[in-house]
Amino acid sequence: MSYEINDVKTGINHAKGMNYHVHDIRAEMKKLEEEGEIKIGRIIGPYKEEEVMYGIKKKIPLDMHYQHKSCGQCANLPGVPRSNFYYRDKLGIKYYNDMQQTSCTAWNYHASGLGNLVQLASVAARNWHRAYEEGYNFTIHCVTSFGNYLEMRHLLVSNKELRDAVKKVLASLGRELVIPEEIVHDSEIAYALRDKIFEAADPKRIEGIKRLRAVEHYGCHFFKQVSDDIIGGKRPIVVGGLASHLGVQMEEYSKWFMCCGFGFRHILVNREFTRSAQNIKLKAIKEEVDPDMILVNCTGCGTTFDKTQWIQKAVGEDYHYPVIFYSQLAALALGAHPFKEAGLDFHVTPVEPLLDKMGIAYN
Amino acid sequence: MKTVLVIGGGVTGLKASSELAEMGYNVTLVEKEDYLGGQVAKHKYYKLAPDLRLAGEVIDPVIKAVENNSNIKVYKHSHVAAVSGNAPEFKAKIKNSKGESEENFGAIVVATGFEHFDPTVKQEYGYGRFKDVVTNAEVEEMLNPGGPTNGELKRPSDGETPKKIAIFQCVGSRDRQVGNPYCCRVGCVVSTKQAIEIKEKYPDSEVYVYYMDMRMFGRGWEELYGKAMEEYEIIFTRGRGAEVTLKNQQLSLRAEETIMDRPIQHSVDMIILAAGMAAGEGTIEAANVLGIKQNDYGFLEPKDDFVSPNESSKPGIFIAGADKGPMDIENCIVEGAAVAAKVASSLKN
Amino acid sequence: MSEENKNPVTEKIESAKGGHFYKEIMKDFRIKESLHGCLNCGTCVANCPAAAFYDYSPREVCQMMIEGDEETIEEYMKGKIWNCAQCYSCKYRCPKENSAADIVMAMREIAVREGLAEEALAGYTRIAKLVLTRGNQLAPDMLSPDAFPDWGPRMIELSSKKMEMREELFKGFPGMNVVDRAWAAEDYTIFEMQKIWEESGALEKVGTVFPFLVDIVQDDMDDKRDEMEVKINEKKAKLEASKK
Ligand SMILES: Cc1cc2nc3c(=O)[nH]c(=O)nc-3n(C[C@H](O)[C@H](O)[C@H](O)COP(=O)(O)OP(=O)(O)OC[C@H]3O[C@@H](n4cnc5c(N)ncnc54)[C@H](O)[C@@H]3O)c2cc1C
Ligand code: SF4
Ligand code: SF4
Ligand code: SF4
Repeated sequence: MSYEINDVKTGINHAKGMNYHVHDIRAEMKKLEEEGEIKIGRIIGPYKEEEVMYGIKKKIPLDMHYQHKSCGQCANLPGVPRSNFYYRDKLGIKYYNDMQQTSCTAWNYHASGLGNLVQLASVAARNWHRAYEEGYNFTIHCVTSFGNYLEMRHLLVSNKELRDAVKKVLASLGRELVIPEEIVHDSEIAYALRDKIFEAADPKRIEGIKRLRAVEHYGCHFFKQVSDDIIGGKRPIVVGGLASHLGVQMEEYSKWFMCCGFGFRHILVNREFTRSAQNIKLKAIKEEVDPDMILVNCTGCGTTFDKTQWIQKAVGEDYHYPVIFYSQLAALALGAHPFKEAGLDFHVTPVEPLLDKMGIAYN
Repeated sequence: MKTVLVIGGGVTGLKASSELAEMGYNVTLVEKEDYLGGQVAKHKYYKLAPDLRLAGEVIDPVIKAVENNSNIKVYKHSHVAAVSGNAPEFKAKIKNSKGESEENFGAIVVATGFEHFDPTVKQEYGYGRFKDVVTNAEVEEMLNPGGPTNGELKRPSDGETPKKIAIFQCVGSRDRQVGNPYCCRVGCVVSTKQAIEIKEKYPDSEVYVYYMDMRMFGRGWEELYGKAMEEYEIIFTRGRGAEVTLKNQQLSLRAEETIMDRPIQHSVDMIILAAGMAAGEGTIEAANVLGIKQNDYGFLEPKDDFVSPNESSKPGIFIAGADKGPMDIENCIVEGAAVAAKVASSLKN
Repeated sequence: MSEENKNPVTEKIESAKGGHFYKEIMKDFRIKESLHGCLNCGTCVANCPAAAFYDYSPREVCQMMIEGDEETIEEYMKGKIWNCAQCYSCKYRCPKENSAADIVMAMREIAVREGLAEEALAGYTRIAKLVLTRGNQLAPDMLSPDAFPDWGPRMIELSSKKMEMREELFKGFPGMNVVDRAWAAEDYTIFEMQKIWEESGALEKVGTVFPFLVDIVQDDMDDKRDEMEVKINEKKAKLEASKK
């Protein structure tokens, strides 16, 4: 079963002009700004508006990108941040690769319960402030960070106690509370830039891409943790939307919603759980689609899908689906070397068959 | 004598029109479709709960009463484009393919009804993706001998008669996620009725109803529910349908058996979604044209739910039926008569 | 807590029921947003990956908090909460928009604070240390084949040549080619983050599970404190000036 990305109806009944239960965080932030409670770090330079839930428009910045990193990607799938740099270089987008940022520490928090909300929100606000003081738009590579920052924004806006505690911590660092106007994930940016990526792409590469069939999987913290601020509404569309724009035939499989089994702590200390969950997902993917690749936008899912296919041999299953990030696909389309510039050789599930099918040389 | 404008030709609007005409008023009935009878006609309801009477037995006389009354002028395929003036001197522009006319009215009745909740919004049920996931309204059409399958229940994917059928209750109702926290008020009895109809026609089939509460508050509803369990061996499982996926190319549903405390998977041939009622585009359009108040869910808001249930927020404009919120046919007919009485008394003053 | 944020459902129960753990959990302001009454519909359980494999139920999590059922709460505090995958599938689909995920998170925090998490956090030292001393949560070095034998032969090959590979990949991107952490955050930055942990009371909490880690962090901070505080004071002055 294949589908056109625009056919996926992800909206909510609210489109019919009902008021029930519309949550407009942007309006709340403006109100707090007027009261002098917070500052808003406004979008700098050109942006594109994309619709999120309740028909609200989200501004996606198209230039001046502060690159907030993912520790999982940098350590484990370094081809992803490299591809993020690559597609910006190709499109002439200015970005800032800052070494005065820390990890969001949300992976640690969800896995272990070490830390607390004041700590988590202060770490978030310190990173936000870095982008603000350098004059860049805050953009995020990691889905764990993305979900965490959406949640921290929500908690900071809705809870004065937390806000005051965080302001106090920030003051002790000589910083202030500046909440970015938009919390944007890099895959949303790539989606917003899909036309530009397509225009700048190498036609030969696009030809290869057109031969591919793929399924998509989104990180739970991309769309479930805070579910009203991603492009497309309730159900995410950005990865499949970008891919199908570049020519990939996107396929639907019934287990698309299910968690990949990463589980934050399970991937470290309880991998039987991870493997069992993976087997359910992979089985559905194999039976229903048998695609050329699995497209992802999340550090944790990318790791899980990539690393746990091999071991399924132990239960008599043979899976071999290359796991590709949206930005790696974009980089490949723009002509990146699959290993030296897209880092696909860091993946454990072999990517060579995919590259062969695309007609891309890699040695 | 003043003329009354009735907008919407469903059960409610029809009843209101014929009552007013009988009291001697001239009535102009404006219906946007090219038939009368509203949702009942649109989806070819076959039998009505709880007595399993033929829907035609109920609706046809109501339609005839309107069509045969010379005091009622019916505009089909038309809509009210603009309204000006105040009670009791309204001017309304009625538009259709033949043109446009402006008429004077003493009062306006809004009976624009509801629309079935669109289950594509609840993507976890796979409606629109899996052909054999259908709505209760589609099943009404199928069960009608005059319908698209000549009265047979058939799987849209292959035309076969399904053997195992699951019905999901509360689709698009009692659900903050889709913005509809209210109860649809007919889903439970309609599903029970459909399950019985299916079992009667196909005694070998298995019918499972996944529910949170069976809300059987109407006349004869609880008795129907008892009959479904005792005589027809329909299986009611307490747990809300959570997700529909494929397993070995067959529809597979997930839910929790909440009485046994365990998650379950269940492979079936067909899934019927008891889609609830939502405020229709027609109701929202009418509210905008007339400038009357809607509630948070888009339904029309009475001036006072207890004391003046049929008056809108504007004098001279009256509301009735399923455009105020989910309502069954019996109550719609009562509403139609009640609003007629209210209009008559207001025009006397 | 401001008046309008009060949730009548949880507010009512709060005053009526529960023991020590219940009361501690209720202090977390996230709970008010995570419980709006429960239909007992089972949607959360049917979508929950943890419920599929463990004796664990998000519905029970919500119910025990609504009822203030201390016995069940204790059972969860002492073990079951660690089964949750924090995937938020329950929250995404609950027709009441309840969030077992957030309740579990609040409970995990309390479990750590009250010394109930030792078993659950065994094997977690390396990550905790990396967070507190490097400002990252993962490093290429940590992905050694002995820790992840089930990741297959290619992982072994990778870890032996990751240095050269990374060098090639990150040519021209300073700070990215490191293996003992994910990227080379500056000392000042790490100090700032340590200070956040200290000021927010989070560091003290780490001490209930990993007391030696607190010592390491404090030594680390003391070594550079004087130098760093000068920088921070400069920053403070700059911020003050910009306000005028
Ligand atoms: C699947 C299903 C099965 C059901 N089965 C039963 C049953 O067995 N027993 C029972 O008692 N009830 C049943 N019901 C409920 C029943 O359908 C309603 O009670 C009834 O249809 C409501 O009548 P109404 O006239 O208020 O609205 P509608 O039937 O919706 O009629 C409204 C009419 O107004 C028209 N209209 C709307 N907007 C405009 C506009 N702006 N201008 C002009 N015209 C407009 C529409 O075209 C429509 O013809 C069922 C409901 C469902 C969902
Ligand atoms: S009537 Fe039944 S199916 Fe409809 S919302 Fe109420 S409980 Fe659910
Ligand atoms: S967040 Fe936890 S409780 Fe909720 S669905 Fe995921 S595993 Fe289950
Ligand atoms: S999904 Fe929500 S309402 Fe349903 S049982 Fe779970 S917590 Fe309760």
